[in-house]
Amino acid sequence: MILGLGNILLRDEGVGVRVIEAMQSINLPPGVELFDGATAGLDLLDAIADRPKVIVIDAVDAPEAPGTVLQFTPQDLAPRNGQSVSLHEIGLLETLAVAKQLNIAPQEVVILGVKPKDVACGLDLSPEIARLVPRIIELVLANLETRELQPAASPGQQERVIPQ
Amino acid sequence: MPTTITIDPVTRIEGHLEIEVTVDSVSGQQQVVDARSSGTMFRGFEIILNGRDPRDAAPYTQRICGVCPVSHAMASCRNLDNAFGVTPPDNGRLLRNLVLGANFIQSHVLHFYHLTALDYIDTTGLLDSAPWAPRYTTPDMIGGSAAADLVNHYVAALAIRRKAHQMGAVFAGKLPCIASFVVGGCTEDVTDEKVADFRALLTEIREFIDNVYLPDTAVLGDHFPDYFQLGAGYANLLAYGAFDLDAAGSKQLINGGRYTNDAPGSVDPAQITEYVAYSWYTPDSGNLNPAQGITQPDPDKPNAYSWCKAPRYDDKPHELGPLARMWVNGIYTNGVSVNDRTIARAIETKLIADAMDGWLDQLDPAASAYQPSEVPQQATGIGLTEAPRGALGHWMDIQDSVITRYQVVTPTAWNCSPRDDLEQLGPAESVLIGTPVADLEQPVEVLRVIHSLDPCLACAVHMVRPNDHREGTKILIQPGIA
Repeated sequence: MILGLGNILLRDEGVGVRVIEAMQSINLPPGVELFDGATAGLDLLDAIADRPKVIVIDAVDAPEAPGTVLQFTPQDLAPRNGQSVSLHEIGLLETLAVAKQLNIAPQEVVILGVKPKDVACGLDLSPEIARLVPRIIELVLANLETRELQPAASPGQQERVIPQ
Repeated sequence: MPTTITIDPVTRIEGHLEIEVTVDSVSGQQQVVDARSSGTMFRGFEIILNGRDPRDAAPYTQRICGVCPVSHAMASCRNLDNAFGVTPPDNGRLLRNLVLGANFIQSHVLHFYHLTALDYIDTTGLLDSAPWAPRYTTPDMIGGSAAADLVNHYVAALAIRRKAHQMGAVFAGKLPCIASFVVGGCTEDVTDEKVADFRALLTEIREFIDNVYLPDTAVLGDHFPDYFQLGAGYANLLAYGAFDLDAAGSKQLINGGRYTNDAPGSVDPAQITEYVAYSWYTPDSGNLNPAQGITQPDPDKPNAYSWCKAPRYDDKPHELGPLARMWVNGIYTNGVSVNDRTIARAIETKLIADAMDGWLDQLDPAASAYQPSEVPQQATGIGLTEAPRGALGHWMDIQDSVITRYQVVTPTAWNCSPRDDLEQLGPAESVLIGTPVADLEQPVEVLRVIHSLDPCLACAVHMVRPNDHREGTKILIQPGIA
């Protein structure tokens, strides 16, 4: 299951959904599904239930520069602080916790987080993030094959992997 | 000495709803003496739609909100039906009702167990891991076996909520953002198999509503009788109505209506005015009916404190939601309070779920659910319906066959609106005044009151955020490194 999250009305916030849209025309190996999860919270339960592996693509709020793509696991996600006021605060982390409670958690979850450049109202990705989409797709495809992600190969550029 | 507490639960990149309460001692009791409710994010979705094909309104407005996309789909399609002059066939009307009904059930059940019940029970030893811990734990909370029962029901409710989602998906085509709602009806076919699948899920959900959810709301009411006296506010109530029972929409399962200054009344959308005295919008954006609505942001406006406008009916603040709907329909009129909102929400869940079984019987597998129509050259539209948390309205103008104005007025814009030009507090602000706060470090009373309104402002930004340790995090692409 390849799951794109985000709000396409807020430009780069919707990068996960835009990657899913761009992947619709790719021939994927059998058993691989694409899912546009939009801004859903618990509605994602059915999409992720009992899956051997879920690759999530979402915008990420991290200190790195816009255009950085990070790979992390659910254990690296920050929990909410304190009490919630609205049902709208049920995000990916809460949904995974609920899946665990219901014994339907996916076996493996990998998150590709893209630091956005522009999250103002608008339907288009910023040029900087739009340029990244083919490389993000390469990363996703590479991740289908292996458990460990490799840095994306890109001509003339060298990516760094932070040592564990 | 007054103390100000800010409740801003949001840890993501931008805030959504911030409640600031001032607590002081009045006649020896520490209580809320002032409140400000602030929508902290500009929602410029209406501007995005200008110049687009009117039919784009349905897929795009659903994206406004991760919890109520179905209600926005319903409001936008009713808006388009109105502007295009088309009436959906009976199957289209019924399928829309069934998908919206499924969304109401999942939202109400989740609201009760995930937001309401957890405010009243001590979950120590029952739910100790994130995201359920840490939580407030106050001496008045339900403990022991009653708490264990409620936590068990909470876990059961999560499974039921999932079934409600699966049920909606039978006729929605795709969730979370549904593809089957279009102008003129619904693109999903009715088959005997789908009806049977839907009914099997509905039957199980109805048993849960009758045997678990409704009794649990009574348990909370019995343990916390004080909350029948708290959170009244203005007690002005308003609903647009939803779930059409005939093609003309003249009869609805939940009719629209109003209860203002202790007297019933009807609802004429022309009497709605949006004020912006305390909202970050230009003066030109204020004092307008949504049909003429303008959205011009003014982030430097002095004295403004919210991105919400302040909608008023006949210049008066009104509360929207399940209690308003049940009250104006004469189904539940016990009172206006925190507990009454919770009980009305459960009664409404049963009302809708029971009606849905009858709607399944009315579906005709041989008939179409869709009536074709043409994009008009010039038209105006209005689409009124209900979201789980209150009345939802969409308004549009079409010229040269494209959208020239789109206005969305959400229920939380009413309930959590700021002060208006007449200096009247918004409903959420007014319901908080007088709420006792025993412990400034754990203002659980404020949360209980706010939760009873089921606010819904966090509709937009959805980023994940890594924690500070990030042991497993790798940088895969770094910009600008040659």
